Amino acid sequence: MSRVTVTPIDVGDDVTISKPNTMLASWDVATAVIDGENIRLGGIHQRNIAADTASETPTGTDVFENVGPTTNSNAAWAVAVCGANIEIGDLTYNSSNEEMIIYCSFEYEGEASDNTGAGDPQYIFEFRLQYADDGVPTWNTIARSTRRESNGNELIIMHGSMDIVARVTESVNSSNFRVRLQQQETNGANVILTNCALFPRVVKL
Amino acid sequence: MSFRYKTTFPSDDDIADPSDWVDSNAELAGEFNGGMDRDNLPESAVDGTHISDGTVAEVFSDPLFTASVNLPTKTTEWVDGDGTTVIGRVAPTIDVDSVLDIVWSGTWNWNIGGGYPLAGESELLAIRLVVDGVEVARSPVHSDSRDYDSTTLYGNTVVGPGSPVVTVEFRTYRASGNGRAERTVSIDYGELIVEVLKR
Amino acid sequence: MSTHEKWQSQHLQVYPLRGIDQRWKASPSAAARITDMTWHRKEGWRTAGGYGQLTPNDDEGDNSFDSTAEITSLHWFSQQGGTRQWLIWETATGALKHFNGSLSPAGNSNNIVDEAFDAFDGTVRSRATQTVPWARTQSAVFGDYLYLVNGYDEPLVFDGVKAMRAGFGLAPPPPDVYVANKDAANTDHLISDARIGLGEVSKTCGYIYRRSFVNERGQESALSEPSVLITFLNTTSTTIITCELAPGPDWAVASRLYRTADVLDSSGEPLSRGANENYYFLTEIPDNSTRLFADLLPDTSLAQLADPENFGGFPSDAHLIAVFKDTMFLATKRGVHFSKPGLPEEYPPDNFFDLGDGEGGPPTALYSTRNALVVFKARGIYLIKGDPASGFYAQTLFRDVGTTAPNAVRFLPGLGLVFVGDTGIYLLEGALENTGTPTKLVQLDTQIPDLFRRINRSALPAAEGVVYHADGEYWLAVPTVGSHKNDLVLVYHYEIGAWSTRQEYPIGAMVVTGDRRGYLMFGSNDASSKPGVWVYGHGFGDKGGTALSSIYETAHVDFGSIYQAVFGKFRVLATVVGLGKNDISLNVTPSRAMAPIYDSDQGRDQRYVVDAMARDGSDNDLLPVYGTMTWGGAAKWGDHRPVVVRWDVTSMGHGPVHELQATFSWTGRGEIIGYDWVIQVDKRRKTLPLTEVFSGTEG
Repeated sequence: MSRVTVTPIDVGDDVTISKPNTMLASWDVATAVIDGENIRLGGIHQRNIAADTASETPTGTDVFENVGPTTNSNAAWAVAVCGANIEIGDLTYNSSNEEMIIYCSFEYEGEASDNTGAGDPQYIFEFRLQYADDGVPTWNTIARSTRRESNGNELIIMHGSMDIVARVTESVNSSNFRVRLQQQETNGANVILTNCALFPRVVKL
Repeated sequence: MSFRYKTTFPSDDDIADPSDWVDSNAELAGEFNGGMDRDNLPESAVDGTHISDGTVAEVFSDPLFTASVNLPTKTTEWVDGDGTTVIGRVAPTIDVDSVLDIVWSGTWNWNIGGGYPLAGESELLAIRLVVDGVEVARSPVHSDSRDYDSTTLYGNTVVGPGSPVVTVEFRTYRASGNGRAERTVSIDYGELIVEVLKR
Repeated sequence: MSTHEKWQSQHLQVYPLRGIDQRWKASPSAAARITDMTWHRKEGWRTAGGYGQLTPNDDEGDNSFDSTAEITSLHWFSQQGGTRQWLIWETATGALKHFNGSLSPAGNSNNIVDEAFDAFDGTVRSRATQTVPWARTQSAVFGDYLYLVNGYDEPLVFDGVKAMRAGFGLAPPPPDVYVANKDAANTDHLISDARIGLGEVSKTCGYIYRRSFVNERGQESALSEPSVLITFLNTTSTTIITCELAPGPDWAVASRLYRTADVLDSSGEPLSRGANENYYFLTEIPDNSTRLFADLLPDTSLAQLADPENFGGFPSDAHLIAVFKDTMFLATKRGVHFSKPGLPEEYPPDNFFDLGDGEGGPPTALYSTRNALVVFKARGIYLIKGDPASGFYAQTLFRDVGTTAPNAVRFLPGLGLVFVGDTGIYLLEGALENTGTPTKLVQLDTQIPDLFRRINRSALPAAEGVVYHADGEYWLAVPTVGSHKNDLVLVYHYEIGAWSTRQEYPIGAMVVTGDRRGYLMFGSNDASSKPGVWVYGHGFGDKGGTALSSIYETAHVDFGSIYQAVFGKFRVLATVVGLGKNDISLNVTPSRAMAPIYDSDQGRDQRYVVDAMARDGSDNDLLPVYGTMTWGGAAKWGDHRPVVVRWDVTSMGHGPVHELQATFSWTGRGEIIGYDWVIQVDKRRKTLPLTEVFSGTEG
């Protein structure tokens, strides 16, 4: 019971400590269990709320930023590199009371195919996000929705930017949570990555 | 600034009147019982353990479709999928005025294969985010000059309590043809994320 | 010796008791002096409350206000429907602070910051201070914002996060305009689609631009002066004009551009005299960083016509502020300016009342009532009436009285507007409107001429006044006897029209909180012994460590002339609330003598003897008192009810006594309801020869 009850004392009552004690006991109980019933509507202000309560600002190794440029050449899925592996962590993340949304952006430039003639195979660049939470790390792909693709061929050098936003829907409770970007290409063309950023936003409550 | 002060000042040798006790207790209790505000609480006193989940924000993101969805060609209206699979739809139940922060991030291909767009051809794709039928974001028009392509679309809006429906919608059309049948565009991967920021 | 005729007893019952009346012949129910007492709605005068510091002491007994400088202004307001409340003050060192109870008891406030997050700490940013009494910073609330003006600093608006310049003082410079020239061959950059671009083809065209700033609250500045007339010849194409925009102040978040339509006719001559005075809204540039704007908009796509006279900035030298009918009013030395309705930071130049009359000087106070905005001068009262829809108008009310104390003008419920002038304390009665109640001026200080004479009128700008609704009082803190700081509080108990006084209140500035608590808070002008913000209340037993001095001193009650003297013994019966053993003390002054009858006051318990009788043979009194009663014994909770306290007084040795004055005082709690004189008066009406008195023979 978070509300205080004021015990009325009437004129003519015996002067005993019982009613004042009852009043004080009510204060004792209530002050230990303050909750929404005690706070005025709209009464809590930003300054009463501890930092990182509603969301966390990523810092340090939680954030990857690198201008690059770095040439990536992976016929099969491998970690993408832009100055360094595009990877963040270790983060502490508990999916039972937090939400994590990953933001990844970069510029890419695909080299022209060295094939000639019509019907030459186009090359396809693919990117996807992976996570690990066991400290080994053992990498798993974040849900299929994170994959991005672009293409080029003999005549068309693809140059553009990509922006991936993904929600981590997997169940995680770890202080060794890591996320990385992977890349692969079909038909063996290199892709140059520049101005890469990878960071999480943890939404609480 | 809900500071309260006692209302009586009894002294020794005063006749003991119960109002000396009761009045001041009532004054303080009046503020304690539902009137406290930021001045009564220290800075940084409240953290996540004191606030119920879902008080400040909630995040929704589904459904995620599991196989590529081929959009119809030349849709005259905006469509949310192929008529069978909905590509992105979120309908949260919200109990207070909120700001919706909406993102759709996805990728598609025009099924061109090894060839590249022929002269005089142009297929186009537009994407938008919709909340209860009202458009909140629209992508630039994407053409098939790039066979594989992707985008991330951001939008936000203010909603009242209720169950707003958030969808991602697509429209395809041909800007110019060359006697060839229209190409379909396949939405291969995509995720619709809605962050509800509560008042 | 002849036998004297029998003495006549007189029993004068004085009830109810009223306030101070310093006139020669006051009624018996009046008082000569009332200090530290308040009139209670149960018809008694009880000891007033004291005051304590706003925040509690820490474990070492130190208070976070101990190092606060003198407080010069105090402002209370709330946002978001009262959920977020603010107490803001300025200090004599130039700081601007807001109360932060979350830091208590180790701290109590934060410096307010500006838009660059520089703090108003008196060093990095500082507020104006003066060493002579002045009106200081005035404030008004509009929407969720607090506006602060004082005539010296730039006007500020506080939104709960930062305080920044309110509106714009200066209009922006006009844009530099030229025909866009991007071609390497120095050819004008032209548009072949005649549906866009400026001007018609095959014609010489001319345009003029003006610009305004916009701040984050959407308030717009005055329009710039017109740009130069830019002319060009369109042959087969239309033209792009480039506007070069100088950067705005830090608080400008957008610019708006206005443009004429083509002002030249087919011969290249001006269309008409007024053609270059019609400016249309062109565009809003939503930032303060864009330096170049390319104008391609044809005349047919221009938006609404804008009247340059309908634009205006926020006067930088405003020293008074008030809100009336959704309109902000500012007073400068020139007169009174008013804003556009709902736009408190935009003051078109024509929205102005020149209340000079050449007399009375500048406005000294503004106060908003239900029907009018009252404008005061040192000598003069004006009313501004009307509304934004039908227009405002000014009328002169009085020319002979006014005020120089803007912080003491207050509205007394059910009575009218009270203010302090050079010649008295006045009440402006009436609804200030044609409602059947005449508007008239009533002088309130007729009962306190001696107190009013002590007021240092030249320091009246320092005076502070508030209405403390909880006790039905108007507090007027004034400087007296040459002091430049407030050192006396005159309290007007407006429900009964009575005055009392209080001292040892170092009130530099004062507010009553606008929430349901209604606390009276004041900022101290005595930084050495009582620094900080204090709260008045009946739960405080002293005045910040200074004992209360509760005195009710009656008027001199006239029992007849010197020839109808009172001799011998008389009795004073005081009806008081029975509070217990703490004394009520009495002294009596006969016939306005220089000293009272007794060298020391005569104390009596404030209870009946029977109240002190033991109950059931125990140690507890019938009405037990704190300090001696036993908890858990036979004591029962008692009651404070009226009792009569008696003194038998002798006036022997004090000559013929025809007037009597009683002085009641308390060191603890007390409440007096009325009192009685029981005296014996010589009922002879003729002069008696001395020989007859001293047993001589009759002549």
